Amino acid sequence: MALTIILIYLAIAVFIGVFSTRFLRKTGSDFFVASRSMGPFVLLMSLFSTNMTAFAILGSSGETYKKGIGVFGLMASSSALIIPCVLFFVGTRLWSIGKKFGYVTQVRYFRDRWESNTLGTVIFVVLVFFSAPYILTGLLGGETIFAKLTGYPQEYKWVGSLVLCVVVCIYTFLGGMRGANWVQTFQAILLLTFGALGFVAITRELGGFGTIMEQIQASPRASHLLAREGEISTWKFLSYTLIPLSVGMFPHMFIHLLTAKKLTAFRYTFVFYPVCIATVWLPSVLLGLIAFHQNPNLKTAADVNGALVELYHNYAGTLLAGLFGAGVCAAIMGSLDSHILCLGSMFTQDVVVHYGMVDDRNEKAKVFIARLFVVGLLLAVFLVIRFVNARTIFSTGVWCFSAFSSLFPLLLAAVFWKRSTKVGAYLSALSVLFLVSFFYCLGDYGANDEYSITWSSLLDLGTQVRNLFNGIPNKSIAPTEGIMPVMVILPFSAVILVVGSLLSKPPSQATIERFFPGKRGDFIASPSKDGEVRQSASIPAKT
Amino acid sequence: MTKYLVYGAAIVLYVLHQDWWNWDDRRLVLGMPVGLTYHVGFCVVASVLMFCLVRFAWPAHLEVEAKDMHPEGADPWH
Repeated sequence: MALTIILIYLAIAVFIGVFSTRFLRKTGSDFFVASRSMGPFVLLMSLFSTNMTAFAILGSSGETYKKGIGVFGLMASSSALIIPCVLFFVGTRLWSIGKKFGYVTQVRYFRDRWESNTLGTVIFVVLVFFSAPYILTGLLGGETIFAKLTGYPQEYKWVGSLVLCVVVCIYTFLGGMRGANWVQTFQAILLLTFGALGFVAITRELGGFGTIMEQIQASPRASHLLAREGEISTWKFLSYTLIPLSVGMFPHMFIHLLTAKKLTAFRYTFVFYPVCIATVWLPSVLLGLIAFHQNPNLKTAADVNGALVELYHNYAGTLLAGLFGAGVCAAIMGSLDSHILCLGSMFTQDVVVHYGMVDDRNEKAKVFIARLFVVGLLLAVFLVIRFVNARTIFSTGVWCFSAFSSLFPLLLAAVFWKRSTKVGAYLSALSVLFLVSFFYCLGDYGANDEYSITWSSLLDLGTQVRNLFNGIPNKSIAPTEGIMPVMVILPFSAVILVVGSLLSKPPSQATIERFFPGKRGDFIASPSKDGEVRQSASIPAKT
Repeated sequence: MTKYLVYGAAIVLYVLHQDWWNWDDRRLVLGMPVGLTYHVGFCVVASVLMFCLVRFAWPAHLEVEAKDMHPEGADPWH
């Protein structure tokens, strides 16, 4: 029954993707940025759906199962403030720059802004590298849903991620960004509806929400989860507020910003986004709490990932469990399609066309290459997931977000600091790549969910590296100690960007005047209708 | 002037996110743990803040500039 409902949902997603091809204009612009024609409602739902993923549903409930209600403050309420603020102060300027100069991806913008082809290519590699774990969290969620709800034996759970990959492939293959946006709107509505329905059904089955909360409060076994004391430190809580800065550097968010018809289309997104985040996270966090109260014996990462699904399976009934499964699949696919479309777009435009492998005017070839990339990428991620299933969705997602937020100084410098240079940008991007990988390895390759940094652990890095090479797990730091790695990596990347920029030659006057005009609207090197000036102003590829 | 007041409110809200006074409080308020109720309320206030930013600090000049400066041919996908 549950499997049938999920399959029906997946068929609907494919149908919407196919239906949207009737409106596809068969141009690269339509495939990748929906001809910049998305209105306010679809944009809000699309941005919302892109952020609401397996991480927000399965990851948050699993983490609440372990650490209690503080998880809501760690990611949901901090994102509710930071994400719309980043979009407001930086995203609007990016939208403007994208419109003025026809940019679709960060890579092209950074290339022109810092006058360097190679820098753009390095940033592309870094972005793809950091995007992969997030796609992995989605597939991990897909496997959890299929394994828990369908009753498949664990060894066949890969079927779940394979089916998700195929469906996402089909509807983005056919519909591009327009199809993805339409499906995402449908997915976001599904998620909100079934989240609420499932929550009501489970709490009713267990005697009512008020009764359960009172039972948890009275329970010596579970009451510690009602507060943050003993579960998380104030400094770690503070360091988590840096993680939502990642929204500024997510490649798919950049493309979504460009799909807006007008700047005013963002208004609804800014205002309603915080409430939308609370709407999805609140039921997940509460259900994670209830899951612990009902069964406190889940230990492994796979079990913690599936704590919420198990609750649905046991208390919501088959129909709602199936609908919930469909809702989570919706959330996962909403994230997957944006990622792969975006990476496909960057690969096509910023690598293949940029280096002259395909003619820029050959629209069919560009779309074809992007589709090939989409298939190849999904296949690669699907194969990689076989080696990472011992991690929790939450911690894997946090590592990924930490990486993107550590790149945030790069974006700030590009948009607001004239004097920033390509040397500073190189140093910043490469330091983030190195430091995130370094700390990830020290955290037992992501398997240590409690990994954080303290003064003593920083002074003891040599021992930790030796342990790493000898295959000895590093000593765990108590959850109430330390800060998240992002609080070390982000300032480091900012400082090295400033130092590198000040010690190197500034960008040319023409570039500075192009991106920082003397007065509003007074842009030099503005693009002409045939695009000639834009092309001459862009950095030519070394082919 | 109003714009800068809203910017200031954003900074104050960031500080209020830390709510150390609820750290060890396990009371139920509005049926939920107080720390959770507080942060749900925080999300609602963040929404109000964003409304104020949109209302009083909207960067309208960016749209005017982009409209003036973006001919169709500038889009690499066309």
